[in-house]
Amino acid sequence: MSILKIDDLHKSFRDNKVIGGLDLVVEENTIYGFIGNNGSGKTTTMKMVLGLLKQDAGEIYVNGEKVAFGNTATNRHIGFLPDVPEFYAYMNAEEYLKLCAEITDIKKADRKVRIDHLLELVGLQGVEKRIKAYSRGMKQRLGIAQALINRPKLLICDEPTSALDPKGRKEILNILQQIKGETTVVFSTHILSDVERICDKAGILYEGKLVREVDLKDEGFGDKGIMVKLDPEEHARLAGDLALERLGDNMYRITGRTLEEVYRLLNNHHVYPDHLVRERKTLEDVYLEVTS
Amino acid sequence: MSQVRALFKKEAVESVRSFKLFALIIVFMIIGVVSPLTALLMPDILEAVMEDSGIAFELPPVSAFDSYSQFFSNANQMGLVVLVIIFGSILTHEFSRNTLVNLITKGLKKYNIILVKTVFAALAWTLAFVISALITYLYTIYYWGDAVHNLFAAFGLTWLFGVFLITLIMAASAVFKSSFPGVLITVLAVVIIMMIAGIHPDIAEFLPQYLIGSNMALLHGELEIGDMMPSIIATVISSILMIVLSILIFNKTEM
Repeated sequence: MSILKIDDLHKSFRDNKVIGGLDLVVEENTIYGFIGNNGSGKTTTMKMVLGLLKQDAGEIYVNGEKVAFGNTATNRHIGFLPDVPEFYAYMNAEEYLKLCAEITDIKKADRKVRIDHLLELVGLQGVEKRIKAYSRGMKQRLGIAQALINRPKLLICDEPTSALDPKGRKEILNILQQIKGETTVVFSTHILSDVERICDKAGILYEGKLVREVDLKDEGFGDKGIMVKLDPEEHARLAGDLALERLGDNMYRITGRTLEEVYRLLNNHHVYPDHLVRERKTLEDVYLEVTS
Repeated sequence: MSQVRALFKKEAVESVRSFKLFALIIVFMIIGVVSPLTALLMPDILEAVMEDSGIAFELPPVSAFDSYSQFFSNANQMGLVVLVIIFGSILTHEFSRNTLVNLITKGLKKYNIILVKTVFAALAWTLAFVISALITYLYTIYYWGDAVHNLFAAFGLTWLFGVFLITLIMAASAVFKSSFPGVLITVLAVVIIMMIAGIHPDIAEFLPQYLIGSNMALLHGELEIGDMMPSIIATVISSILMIVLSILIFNKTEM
């Protein structure tokens, strides 16, 4: 079942068309990477999903309910982590989460347990200092905790790792991976390695539309074949049984064969190359392909 | 109700930890102390000045009216300016720091934000003003002991004008979002427009400004509370309209 469905979404700011006919479906309990250049409309899309911005046309459904601009009821299903989460600097993490819990109307008896669990999840348990003394990474982790306070079915994270150092990025990605079973995560980013690392699916937003969707868990994703280095004599021995596409410098590409089949054939012909590798397209290859 | 309670608590914690409430109370306590003190010391000050300049002048005896005159002069000018400066950013700083996004996406109703902030500011203003008025009242009773006609009604006029300014701040904040100077300029512009409009006697008594221009006339018995009704009703209606306007604008605001 889809937790998020966007149909033919349009949004312009004066004469600047940001989103022009976006269609998107995100399935439950997946991590979906929403990729695009800076200014491609990722944040605008997310804000429309949250009812913070009004779309010019199109419809958005969260958990089957239509999103309305303003105070949309669908936000009870959503947790949101902005790109730069801002808090009340004079509070500490526990006080802030308590405020969030009260606003989301979590029962008093459950609040403490929920807050303790989230503080532990994001590694802020026992941190008494006020938020004004937090590092960027700590703020981002608190941002995840506040976004998860209402046990959302959908967690939307807007570039959660883009301003963090490698350690901070790793921490955030680990947390997102940990919560995958509890909630669906949609996160926007232009850091493709983050998407490859944790996402099940990725959608590339370009010129206001979703131009390509990639299933990152598909074993066959981006398979470019097997690259092998053969000298002329080895090539001659194999040529009858194996389709070899010449790439130059004694390099050949084998396609349409499994690695097991290739090894067996090489062994049958007593060919033992010192360079053999399965090549895949990276997300970056796909991204550059569709955006250039 | 849970949202209102949570938000109110947040406003209270913020005003205490940012020292805003403390600052407001201190300023009004100073006004409360300084007003009767100025009235008390004024003859001595004037006498000293006149002696130096060689002018002979018979000063009338100081009374409770002088004390209250000082109080209303201070509260209606410096006091209200401080009120606007302290609460002028009550909503704009939330816009400029983007702190409301987290809460609104959790289902916090936008009208609750406007209502709670208005009520909280009005309560803080009430607290500071009551403390100030009470100090002046007690000192005045102590030094002069005179019972003054319409005293609490006169206090009420300034208080009501303060509430009007708070609602004006909310409306200006809903329009200008993150611009604190925008809010200050709007409040100043509205006050100036009211002052200019108030030159016309037929319009004057229907303006909120009339409230803070009539405190002493009320004490002297030149005006009665019934005479203030057009201005009071106009101020209450304007304040309610300002809040409704703030909510309508805020509801349509993209964030």
